[in-house]
Amino acid sequence: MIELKNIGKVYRTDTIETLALQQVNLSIRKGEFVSVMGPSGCGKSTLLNIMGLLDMPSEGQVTIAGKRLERLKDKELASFRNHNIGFIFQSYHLIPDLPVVDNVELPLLYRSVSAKERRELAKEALEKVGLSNRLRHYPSQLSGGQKQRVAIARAIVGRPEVILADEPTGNLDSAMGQEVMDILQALNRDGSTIVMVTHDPNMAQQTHRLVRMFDGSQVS
Amino acid sequence: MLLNYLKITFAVLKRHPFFTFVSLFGICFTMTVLIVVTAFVDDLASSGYPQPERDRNLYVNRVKLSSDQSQMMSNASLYLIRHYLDQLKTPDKIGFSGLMNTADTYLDDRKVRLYYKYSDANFWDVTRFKVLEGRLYTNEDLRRNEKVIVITNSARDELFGKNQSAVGKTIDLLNNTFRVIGVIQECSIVHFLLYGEVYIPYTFAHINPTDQNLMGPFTVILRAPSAEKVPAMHRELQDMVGRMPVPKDMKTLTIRADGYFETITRIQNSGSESTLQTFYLILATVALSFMLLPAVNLVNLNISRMMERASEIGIRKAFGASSGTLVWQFVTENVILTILGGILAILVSSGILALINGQGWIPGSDLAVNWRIVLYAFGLILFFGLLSGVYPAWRMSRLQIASALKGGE
Repeated sequence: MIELKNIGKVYRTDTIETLALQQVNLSIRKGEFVSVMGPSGCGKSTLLNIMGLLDMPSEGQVTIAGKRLERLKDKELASFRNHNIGFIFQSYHLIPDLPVVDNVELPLLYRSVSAKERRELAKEALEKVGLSNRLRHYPSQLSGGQKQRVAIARAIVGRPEVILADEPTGNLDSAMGQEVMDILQALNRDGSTIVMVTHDPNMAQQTHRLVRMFDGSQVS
Repeated sequence: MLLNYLKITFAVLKRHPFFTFVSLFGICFTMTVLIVVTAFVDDLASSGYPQPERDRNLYVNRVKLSSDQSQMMSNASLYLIRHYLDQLKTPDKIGFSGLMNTADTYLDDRKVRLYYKYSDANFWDVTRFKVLEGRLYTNEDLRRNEKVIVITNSARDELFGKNQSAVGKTIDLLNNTFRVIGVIQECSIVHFLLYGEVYIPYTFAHINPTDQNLMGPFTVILRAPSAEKVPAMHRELQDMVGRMPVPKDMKTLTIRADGYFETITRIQNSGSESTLQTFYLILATVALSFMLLPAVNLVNLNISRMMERASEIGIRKAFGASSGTLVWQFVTENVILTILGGILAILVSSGILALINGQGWIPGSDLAVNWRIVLYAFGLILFFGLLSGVYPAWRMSRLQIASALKGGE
């Protein structure tokens, strides 16, 4: 499903060159639930960003669902992300000015989907995460766990094959974290391929496979 | 999609009332000035009181004689009108009036300065002045050399008291005692080809009947039977000019006959041969220069407002918005903001124009925001919105997703 070959990433400023990833090779099968662990600054999030086409590698190849992606143009990348990848972020990244249901609809805005269908799909996704009673609430009116569930609903509303989660339980207490984890596991059982960056070994051990990173390299 | 943009726009506007106020104030101020100027230009350019069918007319206002050494330029003479222009077949009416001058009259030891204009009787046919009292002078009055005049309502109010009857009363003016036979509704002074407070038969203009000079003080209005006949009327005039004898020592004779707006813009431009296109070009350049500074300010404000939304930009991109889509979103938001400012500007402009009319700062002015001006205004608003919105939108859309997302944390 996801193939990373010889991925390297270097961040350059005028004076400093920082090596974030080097020679990373990773293959993730369809339907797999993979966690990525490692100390802060080891390149976990950079790796996830490259998998999600949020950042481009300095070298190497990215193939998702059989398609080479590192040379696609902005519009093609946007369309690919929209149809194939859902994101869940540690700090939720909901748009504060929009109510829950509009936040969830966001990925569908960039497809040819009617307003009615968008609304139905958003409601359906919110129902899956148990928040169908919070449609008109604004993010500021929700708890951390609820916000993350809204973010999950947004990630799944477009039915992408791949879900990339960057420390989805990092800002939550253990009970809420487990609730989110349960939802992710349910999604995985339904067929989604999930890659999750985490610091929490308890969460990592609930996934199929653990990838360990250190200083920009994959160590296991 | 548009509904989503609208929601976001209003939410962002509500989030920072001070920024919103500064932005709206800038837009409103700029647009107000432009709308007021547009109202003036529209009042001049479009048909209206006292010539609702101005597109049927040509105005002969410039007679030019030139040789290798010199050139002379003036308005039309009575000789030119009577011996040549009156022979034209296409016009269904030819009227003329003189320059706008001032003269003093005394009433009860009070000096009153009045704008006066000489005209023939046909002048009343090629215009549509509203008669408030009495009547207009006729060819018969002129033939009998009657000392009669027509005054405007503002002159009446000044001379005889507000809304007092003036017909039958006399005024001493230009060494004559004239009898008022009619009162008309004043037109705006910006229509200086037609404006006067007192209209006097041209027979009192001391014109030498034997003078065969082509140049004189009159602007001639040639009225065609319909707007479609105007080009034919123009051709007939130019054919005639081509056959007219050129005075001794002169090489060429040119007689300009143009539409109303072209005539007055040429007069304002010291009689230069520049075209109406040149005038519009100058106007557009001035408008653009005037819009540029507030647009640059709005660009800066927009960039700082959008920087706050880096996280949103990252989120939208992550979930499938292309850079082009984001440019479209932010430009739309900016256009919505400028439309809000523009609506305010239309309201403020209406107030200012009503004030100008009410205070009499421009005699006879009847300026108003009509549908044409609203249309122009929306054109300007749209242009201003694009001018101030495209660059910030483009700049923000180039943000790297990963760093945009970090900016939101």
